Formats: sequence, C-alpha cells, structure tokens
Amino acid sequence: MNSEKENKDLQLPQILNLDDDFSIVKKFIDGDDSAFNIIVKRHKEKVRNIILMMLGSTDGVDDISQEVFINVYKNLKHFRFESQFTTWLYRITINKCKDHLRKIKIRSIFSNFKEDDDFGYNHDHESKDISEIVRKAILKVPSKLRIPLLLKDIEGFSYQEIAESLGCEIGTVKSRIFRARESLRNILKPLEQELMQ
Amino acid sequence: MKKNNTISENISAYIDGELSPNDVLSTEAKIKTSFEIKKKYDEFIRLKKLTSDSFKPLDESPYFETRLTSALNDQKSFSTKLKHWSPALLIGSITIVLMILLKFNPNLIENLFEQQKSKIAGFYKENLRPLLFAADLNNDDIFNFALYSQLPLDKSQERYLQFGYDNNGNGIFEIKTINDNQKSLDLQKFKIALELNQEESQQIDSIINAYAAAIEPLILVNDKNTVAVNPGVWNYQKAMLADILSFAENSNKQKFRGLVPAGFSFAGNDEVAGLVAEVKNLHDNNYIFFTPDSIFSEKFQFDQEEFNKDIGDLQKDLERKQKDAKLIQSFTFRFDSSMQNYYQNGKFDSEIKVFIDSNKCRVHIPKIKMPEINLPNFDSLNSLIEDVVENFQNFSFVLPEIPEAPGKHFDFKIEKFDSTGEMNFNIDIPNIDSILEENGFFIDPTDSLSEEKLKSRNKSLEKLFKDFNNDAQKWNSQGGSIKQQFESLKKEMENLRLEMQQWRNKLDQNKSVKEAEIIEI
Repeated sequence: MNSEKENKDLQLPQILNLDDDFSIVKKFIDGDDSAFNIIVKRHKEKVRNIILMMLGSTDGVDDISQEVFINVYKNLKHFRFESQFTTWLYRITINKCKDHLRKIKIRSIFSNFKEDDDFGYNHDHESKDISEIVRKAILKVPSKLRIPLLLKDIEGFSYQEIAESLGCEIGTVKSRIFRARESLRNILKPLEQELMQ
Repeated sequence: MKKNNTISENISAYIDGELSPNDVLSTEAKIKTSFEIKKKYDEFIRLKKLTSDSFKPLDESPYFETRLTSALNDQKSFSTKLKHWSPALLIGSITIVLMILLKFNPNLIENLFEQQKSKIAGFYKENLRPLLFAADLNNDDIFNFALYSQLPLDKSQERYLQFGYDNNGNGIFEIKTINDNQKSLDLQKFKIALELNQEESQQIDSIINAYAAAIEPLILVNDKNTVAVNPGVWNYQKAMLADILSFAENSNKQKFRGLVPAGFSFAGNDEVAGLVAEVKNLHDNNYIFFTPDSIFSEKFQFDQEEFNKDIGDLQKDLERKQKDAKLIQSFTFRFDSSMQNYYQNGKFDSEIKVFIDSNKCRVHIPKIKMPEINLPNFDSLNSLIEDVVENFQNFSFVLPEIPEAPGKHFDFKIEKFDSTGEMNFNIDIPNIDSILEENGFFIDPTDSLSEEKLKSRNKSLEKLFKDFNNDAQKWNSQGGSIKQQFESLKKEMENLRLEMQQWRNKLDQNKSVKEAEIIEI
C-alpha cells in the first residue's frame, strides 16, 4: 500500500506554487502585464541593495534599479527557464553596476573625479564610525574581489549563486573571497587599534 | 606558502559554510591543533562580522514602482508613436526617394508614361490589315464610300465607318452600328442612270479599283477591334468622287445633268485634275487609332508589300488546296442490304451526309426510326419463371443402369435436364468379398451352402441397389427427403450387417461340423 502511494507520488507532476517566480514570469510571457508589478515588488529591494553594495553609494541606486527592471521587462519574454529567475535578475543587476562603474572610471580619467569620494552614506570623511571605516576599506579592495565578498557577507549568497551570477567557477569564487578578505585585512591593519576600541 | 594559502582558503570557506563534510572535519582538526590557524580563523570571523555590519539595507523606496511604470510607459508610448506615424514616415520616405530620383532623372515619369503608352499602342497595333480585305468590300462599297462617305466594318453586324465634317470643316469619322442612311443611288443604278455601255462600265470599275488600291492601306482593322484611319482617306474620298463625277459628265453629259444639281460641272475642270494629282502624291504615316479603351494618334507604317506577299501566298495555298480537292473527284460508298432496305422503306428522315476533310471523313447519319417489334406477353409466364428461379437449386438426374459385373467401384454419370453440362460421380462401394477374405471367411463357390449364401447375398445386393437402378429415380436434395433417404439407407445397411452376422454364424456352425467330421474320420 505504501509503495503504491510512493509510486503515485512519483508519477504526479511537481505542482509549482502559483506564486513562485517561474509562474509569475510565465503569466507575464502569456500577456499578463500585471505580473511584472509582482516581480518588481518582490525583487526591487534586493536589487537596490545589491546596487548600493556594489557602488558603495546611494547615488544612482534608483536609476540603475530602474534600468535593470526596464531591461528585465524588455527581455523577460526571452527568459528560458534554465536557471533561477533571481540568478538571471542579479546577473543583469551586476552587469549594469559594472557598466556604471566602468563609466565612472572612464569619467575619472578625464576629470579629477575620485571614485571613493562618493563612498559612504554620508560624506563626512572625518567620521570615526567603524562601519564607515570598513566601507572605505572595502572600496579599496579591487572590484573583482570585492563583489563576491559582498554578495557573500552582506547578501548571503551561496558560492553557487555567486558563481552563476558572475558567470565563473565555484573554485574561483572561493579563491576571490579569500583574497578579498586577505586584502581587507591588510587595509584595515593600520586601523586595528581604532577597530579594537 | 601555497599549502598555507590552501589552508587559509579553506578556513575562509569554512566560516562561510561552503566546505564539504570531509574538509570541515580536517579544517576543524587543524583549527584545534594549530595556534596559527586558529588565529587566522578568528581574524576571518572578525572580518566577516565587520563586513556584514558595515552595510545597512536601504530604506524602502515607495515611489520606485510609480517611477518605473512611468519610465516604461514612456518607452512604450515611443514605440506606439512610432507605429502610429509609420504610414506617414513610409510616405515621407517614398516621397524623398522619388524626389531624389526625379532630381537626377527629370523625365522619369514622362518616360514611364510613354513606355506604357507605347506598350498599349503596340498591343493594339498588332496584326492590322486593310479593312477592304478584312470586310471583303467590293466596288459597290467603294462607290458608296465616294458618294455617301460610308464604309462597312462588319456587314453582318451593320457596323460602318462614317466620314464627315464638323461645323468648323474639320474631318471627323465615327463608328456607327445602325445604318439609317437610305442610299438612293448605288453603282448599278448609277451606271443605268448614265446609260453607260460595257466599255464605259468597265472604265468606271477600273477607276474605282484604282482608288480602292490607294485607300486599302489607309483604313486598317484587326481582331482587337482597333480601327486605324489615315487622315488622307478624306482627300481620297473627295478625289474619287470628283473623278467619278468627271467621268460621268464626260460619258453622258445630258444624263449627268439630270443627276446633279444645276450648275455643277467637273469635266475639263483643271482643279479636279490638280486635286487628284495632289492627293495621290500626299504620303502621311499618321494614323488615328480607335481602340475599345482609347483613341490616339501615332505614326504607323503599313507594309503594303509584305501584305501583298502574304495575300499572294494565301492565294497560292488556296489554289493548291483547290487543286488537291479536284483530284478527289468521286467517292464510292458501299452499303449493305439492310441500309438499302432502310432507304426503300423510308426509315430515314433525311439523307446521309458525308463530310470529307484533308484528314478525316465524318458521316452524319440521320435519326433512324426504330421498327415496332411485337414482343410476346410474358405476364402469364412470370409466376412460373419466378418459381423456376426460386427452385433452381432443386434438380433431378437419371441414374444409368448399373453394370452387371461387380466392380471394385461404380462410375456413373449424372445428366442435368437442362443439358448445360455433365457431372461424374465416383462412388466407392465396399468390396465385401475382400473383407470376408481378410477376416478368414473363404467362400467356396462350389459349396452348396455357399451357393445359397451367394444367391442370398446377390438378392440382398439387388435389393440394396434396386432403388438406384430405377429408371427415373428422383432425388430431392431438400433436407427432409435426403434425411429420409439416408435413414432408409441406414436401415438397409443395418439389415445387411444382420445378414452378414447370420452368415458368419452359419459359417461357424458349418466349420465346427466339418471339423467334427474330420475328427470322426
């Protein structure tokens, strides 16, 4: 009797929650534009925080978020359901941030603009707030190492998710996070006393 | 150094909870045993905490969705606007392209128009041939043309070409379908009225022929209902009329005065001679084309020589065919006697028509009256025929006489009453003698008892086959009768078996008697 039940369970297709990302994306693809509002509502804060974390500044967070969702709106019909929707969404977000950072870097070549000038939620350089010191130190870590570290320590992504979002191997993620921590440790070494207080 | 890095990497992954269970165990062991590794582990724990504490999540943006929707609508409206204006954009682009083309090729439209025009004109100008030839016009028609300015286009439909002049004196022509112009004079009447002799009559015919030849290439028609008229035809009409009247006046001045109003005179008029000479020298290739959907004027060169050549070839061909036809002067049709009877008895409504072509011969036979045949009345026989058909499967047969000599098997023939065929049956009859012999019952024919026995057997066999041997024994194959007959046969066989048993008993007795006699001996 039990084995019969097991077989029945095996034969039954997996019933997806109608509220999951795939179902909502499917609704949107089938022409229900209101499904897009659900997607935005569900993921906007995560996207905004990833952008903040990657830029290190609140400036432009909403603009880039908007660009991300416009991009999603335009390309959602081509989503192939081969990976998690969030992985696809975060990859778009990270790529948008990278584009933005590249633009800033190019701009800084032709001006006296300094990337770390914008870092921090406020612009008080004399602040002794530990969080701010750490944020400044994090910014000094190369972005290639910084992004996986922040995705892990702040957003709580798994190595697998980071690898998928960045399009690299898990081993690379592991190595980069380690190197980011080493780099951060070296940066913060002179400030060890302040941090200890 | 590399080994240290690997250990440190594993510690970093360990605090992230990303190590495999085996690596977790080995790393934990190393942390416990090594002070250096423990220190590294603590450092990474502290760094992880500092990093995660350094960022606070952003406050929610309540207007984010509103702004996003607005941005999306803007993008949508742009594409919608683009779609809305696409026809105008298309027209605009076509206009620009046309403007550029016309800038570099100003005569483009005109050339295209001309090209199309010449194409249409070319279509209507195909296979033009003289009206005089196409409508098979004769001297009467040409005379009427000179007198009444009319030329028939198609005599059967009474369509004709009417030449005339408008109020300004310009030449016009029109195609009319009903000829309401009652001609009071024709060529024959004209000749009679002028009392022309044969020579004069021939002369006027000759004049008309000459003008007909000149007019021939000036009025052309084709099978596309195109009529091409050379304006020179008006001059020829006038010249011809003047020439005819001049000839008429010269032939019979008195009668001519009676035909024309007083004061008109053509004979000796230099103007007439000058006009005729002038008209003949005028050569203009401009034609006015009347087509079913347009009227246009264009230069056209009618190749009279080519046309004459074609006509010549056609005439030669016709002559050849006529000559061939003459070769077949007579046909012989042979009918059998029945056909003759039909003719004699007036069975045909009309005559038989035979059409002979170059490659086939078609005979048209009129409707033949069917003879009346008196068929017998089958009504009385119908029920009988139906019965016969229903019982067709029931048939009788006659058995022939069974041969006297007892053979191993009987062959007998069944003759069907309708004599449509024969059937042979082979009936195996058990050879009783051989059965008896096989079972050790030898019958001595010399034995008195055996003789009796044989007689008895013969009687029995005779009885058995008596029914078969009757002259006209009828076997009804219907189920009941066959069953009865088989039952009867079964009884007979049973009787035979009993008789056989009796013989056997008797034989046994006889045998025991003989044995007893031998013992006694």
